Amino acid sequence: MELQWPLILFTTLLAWSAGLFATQCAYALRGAAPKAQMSAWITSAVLLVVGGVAVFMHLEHWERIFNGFGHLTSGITQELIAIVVLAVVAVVFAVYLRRGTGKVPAWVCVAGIVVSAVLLVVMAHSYMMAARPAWDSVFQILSIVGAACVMGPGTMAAIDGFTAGKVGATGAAAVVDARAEVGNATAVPTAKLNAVAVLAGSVANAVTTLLYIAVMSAASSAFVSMGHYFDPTHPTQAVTDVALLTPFGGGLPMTLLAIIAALLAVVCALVGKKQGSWKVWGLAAAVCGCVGAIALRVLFYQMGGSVFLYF
Amino acid sequence: MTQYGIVTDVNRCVGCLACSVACKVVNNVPVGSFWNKTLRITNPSVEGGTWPDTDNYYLTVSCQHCENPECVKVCPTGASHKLADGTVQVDKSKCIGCQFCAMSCPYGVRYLNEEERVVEKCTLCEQRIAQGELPQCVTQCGGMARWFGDMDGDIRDFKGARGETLGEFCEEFTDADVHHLPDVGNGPTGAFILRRMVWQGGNQ
Repeated sequence: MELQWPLILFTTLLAWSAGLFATQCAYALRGAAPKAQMSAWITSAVLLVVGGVAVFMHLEHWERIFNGFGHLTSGITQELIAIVVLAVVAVVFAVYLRRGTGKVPAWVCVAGIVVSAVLLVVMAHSYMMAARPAWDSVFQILSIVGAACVMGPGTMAAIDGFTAGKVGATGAAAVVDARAEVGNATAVPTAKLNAVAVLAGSVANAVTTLLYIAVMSAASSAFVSMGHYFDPTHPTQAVTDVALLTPFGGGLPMTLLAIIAALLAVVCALVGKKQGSWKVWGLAAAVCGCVGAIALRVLFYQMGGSVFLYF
Repeated sequence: MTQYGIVTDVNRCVGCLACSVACKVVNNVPVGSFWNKTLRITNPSVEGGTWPDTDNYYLTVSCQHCENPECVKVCPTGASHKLADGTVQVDKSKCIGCQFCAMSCPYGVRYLNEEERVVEKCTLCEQRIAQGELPQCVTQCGGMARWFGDMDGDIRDFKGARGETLGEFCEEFTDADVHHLPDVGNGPTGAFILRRMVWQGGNQ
């Protein structure tokens, strides 16, 4: 089917926003990178707003937006509810961040992580349609979560690098022990957390990307084959070629871009870990994750033929 | 419970496109879009074979007014809904044009009306069947291939353009000759009767 750019941008930016918020919640839980928290929160909020604006561009009659959203079986309604819940948790998080010591209670952090994950699952689940074999897979959901896993930690590590205040503050040689700053007994060195989060996130993203591409390849067998057919009402239109609806057929450019970007994010994480510098490498991992996520969503639409393709 | 639908005797269809054209006229379907489309299926029974070893028939495809329509399930505003007569309709005044219904349709029969910026599709001529008339595609069928009635009853009782029933008028058929478009849990209600040839419209 044709590319739905507002939805491609919305899903990618929402994954980025939720991934970043979940990451900062995890950091807050461990008492790491306290100086990066407010910047990360603002970045996450901006990504959410830009994504929200993008999805409005998809609606043909956005002025009728209040016509509904009471229809609970609709994925769009479920997404809206999840976004509102996330926004509420994010506001509570920000309130605690601005108060006194800036320490956010553990329950808020855990709620932030859970709600972010739920939002991503709900968002991706709204595209799980039996009508479109390439979409109707749990691996499609995991690919969105995987994108959040690399974009969130990458951005958080980069923001930490920019806000730490001095060169190498998050490096291996100059570990910031946040414990002293927020009085959190479970605090861990931020540099170690950056390395673990970005590396694990980028590997998770690469794995989920590869798995979903494999699933899309297998899904092409679900299309109805018509033998030879002709559409007299569109006599000059090319006959549908089911063989093109495979990631390694018609979708090859986007498949390669998604795979390369996902693997490059892993490379960025490894280099960042080795150098202990996340200003560049954290950002690079996040950007690679974003490019890979967009490529995978483009591929998602390119492969999104219905089981009966011939109308 | 009523479930109105159309049964097409594919062996009778001559591919005249009268159903497609009549539908466009009576429902003001935009140029380039269709509520009912006619496909020509040519399938050599023997590789490289010529007639009579070649299947050749026409498949008219439109909204299947499904039993469990996925388009209704995904609609955020309730614009897509199922009526008591079993037909699936779109309340255009509620539609926000998100097009998730079009994405969720296994048959691709929904499209965005660029002028009205809402999604539309076959209504089974609700404006006609609500007052006891036949859908325009059935009325206009040149080959007496299209028949209208309640799928919850016997399809042999379906009515054609001249008042006969399918059972009286059409060639005899068995249950094995009655086919549907692929079902992915939506329960398509439209049926196609195809005898002596290989059904290419799906796995049933």
